[in-house]
Amino acid sequence: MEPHNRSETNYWNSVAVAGLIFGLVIFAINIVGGYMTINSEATGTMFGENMIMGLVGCLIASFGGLLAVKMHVRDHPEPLLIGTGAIIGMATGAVIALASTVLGLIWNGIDPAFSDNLMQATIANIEAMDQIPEGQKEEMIDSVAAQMQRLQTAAGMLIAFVTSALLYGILNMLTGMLGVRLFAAREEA
Amino acid sequence: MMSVRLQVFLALSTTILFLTTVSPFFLHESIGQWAGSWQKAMFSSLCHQNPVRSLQWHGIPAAVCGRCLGIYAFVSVGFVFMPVLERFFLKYFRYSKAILITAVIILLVDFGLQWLNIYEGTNTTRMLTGSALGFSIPVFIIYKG
Repeated sequence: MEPHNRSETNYWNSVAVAGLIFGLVIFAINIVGGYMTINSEATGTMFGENMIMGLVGCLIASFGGLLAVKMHVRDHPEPLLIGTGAIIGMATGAVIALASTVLGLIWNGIDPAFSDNLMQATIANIEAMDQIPEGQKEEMIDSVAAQMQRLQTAAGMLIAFVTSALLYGILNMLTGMLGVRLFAAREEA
Repeated sequence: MMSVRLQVFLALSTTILFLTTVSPFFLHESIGQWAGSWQKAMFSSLCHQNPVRSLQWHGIPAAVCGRCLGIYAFVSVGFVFMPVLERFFLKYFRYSKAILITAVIILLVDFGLQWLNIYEGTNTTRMLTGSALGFSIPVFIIYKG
């Protein structure tokens, strides 16, 4: 029997499953946060429901790499290189970004008014901010509205996807390596 | 041990991430521009971005809060300066697991006490606790025994 070749172990299943799970969770958190913002009174605070939900999403999104490595190690108990953990984590981050973007697009088809309502709610919240001078408030509203409208264009969506894939990729690369240190059998590189 | 190539890649990617978080200081002239900036949009799913709890430069907040900024900054510092730091602190790095757990506990205690309104933290305490966690991550990844 030929010795097991470590480089041939397929980690893409773990990447896909962990990425889809976390992508779905991030999407759900963003949608719930969005509706909480839409359906709540404009309080004028910069620390709103959407931001709080985003914070929860962040903490969860960072651990996709950890889950992917855990799943991979469960199926392939042999030693795992730290670099492989980095690749698993980075790929998981990209899948999380892809899954949450695609689900967001699907949701826009289900509720086409969601983005507009969220923009209106965000603008209403800025208008209710007492501590900011009028001129600055207007500038904020223009800037936020332009940014949210950009995100509704194809180019804006593509840029948002690429930036979130990079961001989630780097964060999950770190947790992927943490996963190797925590779950995998040891081997010198 | 980690390969030099991977360590260079980690140093570069985490440094770019850190520079992105502080780039609003240099690219925007008002909080209005900051509110609609790509940096704020990029990190919006990762941080609450409350300007009051963020480091500010001439009235412009960073793209993330003080705690996150500390994490990003010191993950980067850890990977960039580890070859130098290990000459002086290598004997302590074998306790990397304890260092990481301690940093997590300190951060959770600081966060929990503020969340429960037991004490009002400052941006300095948030940055310090974030920095401790940030630095402990590369130490754990590189030196976990």
